Amino acid sequence: MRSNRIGKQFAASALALAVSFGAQAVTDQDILNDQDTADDVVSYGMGLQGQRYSPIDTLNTSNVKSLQPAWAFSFGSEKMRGQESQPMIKDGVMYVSASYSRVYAIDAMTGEEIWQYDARLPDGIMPCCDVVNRGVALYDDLVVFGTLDAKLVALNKDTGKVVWIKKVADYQAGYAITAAPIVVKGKIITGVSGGEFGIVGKVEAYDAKTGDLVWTRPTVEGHMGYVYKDGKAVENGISGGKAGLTWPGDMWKNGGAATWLGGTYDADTDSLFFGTGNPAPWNSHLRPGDNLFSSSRLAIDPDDGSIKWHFQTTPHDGWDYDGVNELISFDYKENGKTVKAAATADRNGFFYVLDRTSGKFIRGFPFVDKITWATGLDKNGRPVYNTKDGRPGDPSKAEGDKGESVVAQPAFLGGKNWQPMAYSQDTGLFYVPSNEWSMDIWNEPVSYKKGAAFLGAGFTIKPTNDKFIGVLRAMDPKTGKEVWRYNNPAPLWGGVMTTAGNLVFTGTPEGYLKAFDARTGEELYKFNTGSGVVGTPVTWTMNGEQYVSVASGWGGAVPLWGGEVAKVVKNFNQGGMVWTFKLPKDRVVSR
Amino acid sequence: MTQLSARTALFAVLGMVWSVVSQAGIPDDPFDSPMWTYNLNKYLGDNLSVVIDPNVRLEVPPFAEDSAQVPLTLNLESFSGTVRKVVTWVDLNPIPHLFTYEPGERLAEVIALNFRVQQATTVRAAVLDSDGVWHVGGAFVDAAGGGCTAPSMTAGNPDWEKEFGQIRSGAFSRADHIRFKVNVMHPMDSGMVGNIPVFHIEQVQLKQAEKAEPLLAMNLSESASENPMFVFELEGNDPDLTLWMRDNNGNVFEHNLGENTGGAQ
Repeated sequence: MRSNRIGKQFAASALALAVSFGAQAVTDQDILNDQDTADDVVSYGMGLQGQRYSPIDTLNTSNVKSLQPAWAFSFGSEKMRGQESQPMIKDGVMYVSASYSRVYAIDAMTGEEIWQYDARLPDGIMPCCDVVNRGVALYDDLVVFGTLDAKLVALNKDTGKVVWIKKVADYQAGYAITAAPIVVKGKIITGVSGGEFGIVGKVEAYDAKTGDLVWTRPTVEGHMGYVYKDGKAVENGISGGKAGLTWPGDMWKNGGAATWLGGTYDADTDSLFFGTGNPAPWNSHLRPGDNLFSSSRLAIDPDDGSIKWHFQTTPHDGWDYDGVNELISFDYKENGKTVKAAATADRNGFFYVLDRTSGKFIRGFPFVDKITWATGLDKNGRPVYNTKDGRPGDPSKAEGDKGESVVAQPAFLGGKNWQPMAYSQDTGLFYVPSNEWSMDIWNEPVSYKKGAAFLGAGFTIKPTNDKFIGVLRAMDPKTGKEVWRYNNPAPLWGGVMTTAGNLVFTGTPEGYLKAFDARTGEELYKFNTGSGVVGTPVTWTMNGEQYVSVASGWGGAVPLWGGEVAKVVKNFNQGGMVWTFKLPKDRVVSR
Repeated sequence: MTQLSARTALFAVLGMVWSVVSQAGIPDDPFDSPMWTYNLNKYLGDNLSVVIDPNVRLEVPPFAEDSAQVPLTLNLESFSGTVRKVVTWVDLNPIPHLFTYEPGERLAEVIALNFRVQQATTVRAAVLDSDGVWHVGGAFVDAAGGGCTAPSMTAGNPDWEKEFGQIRSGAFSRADHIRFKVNVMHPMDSGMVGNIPVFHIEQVQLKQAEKAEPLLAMNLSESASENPMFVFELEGNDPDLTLWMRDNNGNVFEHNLGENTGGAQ
């Protein structure tokens, strides 16, 4: 009897040990609180609102010069392409994705690999703009990410073994996934890439634990949305009500509006905010009308995928001004009242502040030095087009195949591209990684063919200054004023993070991780990682010390599409690393 | 965890007796392979009781004409004991393990598939009987080698996904036995070819309708060949069996093998 009881106790304690040894499961609450917790990063955006603001102030303007590399980890193989990932941290383990749909679990203290998963991709994948991946989602004991052949894969966080895999869309039609999924109410929410191939954009929700499809919402007017009950599709309304309202003929059938950068979530209004890409094809003369819901921000109900409101930044886009850039929720005080706002810095060069409860336009202003395609925004935030020489000419009205070429600014890679900005709750400023460039653009006839580029346009990008292309800007969302700027020779293509230590972090294609004073823009720290930084930094605390991590590896759309920018970037070497820094305990002096 | 400690306790109780048996339990290798004891311990465990058994018949060609596709047949028709488990491995491959097979309520007396050889090597099959004794059979295959690290045919085909997962099968009756032949299109990448990650079928099961326990459960490793052709010969004459497979990327393949599906599909 007695020995039996001891045996039982031993078994029970062994079980407890086994549970505490492994990392804890990630819950919805962990994800909702991510912006407030110092010891983990469990959402893309360092909080579902996407502010990329850390409340940790151990590392600050007075001691950042003592930030030191702790370890560096190589993604390995010959697949050294753009590394645009944001690492995640949970219980001392880093989960980070890399180019070609690879995921790594790394001991965050030592940099030692725990496991690695390489998706076996078909040769026919069609990523328009490099074979990047922007990060994973964590939920329960799963690590979930999207692949370049448009699948969602859930891995066990301890072993890296596949738990479930789901095909989100057909890669042979041009679909891919490069964005990090987000998790809201136990559902994995993902978008799709492929706007250059005449796909139809969509946002979808999958049950995080099983991978079952919960709802799907097309982002082009005229396509039916569905919710799934017991495996059956139930109609949930046509996006935009019906087909043909803002599209001519059947152009809506291949209308683009790819949701390729994923989204954010605001618990206050219980809304997903997803941006949509360019309408297809690029040649806008083939599709007169606003072409909803291309180049827009959508507020979506996370329970069934219904569209609550939309705000279109570039109606009838003719410049590839995707509206995918992140919409960041933030509150500010005006006349003693709290305004529930959301802000976005668009590809088209304008910065928008919206009422996030209704999608109503509050204000907007240029955040780049020059905009040529529009002369301004009207009171509803709709652009006032430059009708003289803003839009490339109609090829059907020209002799030969090529329409009249125009010079448009910003270039199609945008005043700001995918690289996420950050919002500081201390300074009330947005830190926008932007670029100054223009393009020659002209239109050509084109027709849709499955899996082929659907553009009908030619283009070439040119820098607008000799000395710099990239500009990191501190923008005041209340006034539209640029508070400070940092000019960088190469275009900025990495994400930004700000902290309660009055710091702004970002990377440069020249290889540096840099830190700036959030109030003045003074450069306080730089470290060269050996290849261009186009990833997004994160910070957390571990054993009482503050850590900073960023992926390094030059690539992305610039070397593929940058035209004359090649002069500046052609000697940047590729890489594939994640660098981790820390402020050693003995360097934290009191301020 | 608790199962493990229970086993350790058992060993502790049996103490000396067991260790004496296990030391004496590994006979000399008839093929004199340098990996003999190492792989026995790696795949079957320590404290082993092993006998060389000619009734564990392993058939391979004397020379591998294609080192990436070497036919192997395991024939247990004349094995007299009860089969609890079968483990096969290729002594000198980078990842020696080929497959582990656990029978359900009926035995697959014949299992055949193709495997890769990296160099001339001994191949082994170990059968665990109900007394805990491993019966080991072996064969030697001479080879030019390189089968594990040469790019697959699939790797040279940019459209491989078009045929990926396609399954052809046939069922053949032999008196009171039935023989299934299944071919599945899968690159079975070993992970040892530059820039091609490991991508292979890990689990193979034969399932009977409405029964939870599979009739056959097999785990495959990187030594198995591309586009595998499996042969299973079972006692009885089932009209309907389902073949279920899962690869390391989570893809699941299911296929009905029954004669009433019309043989080769």
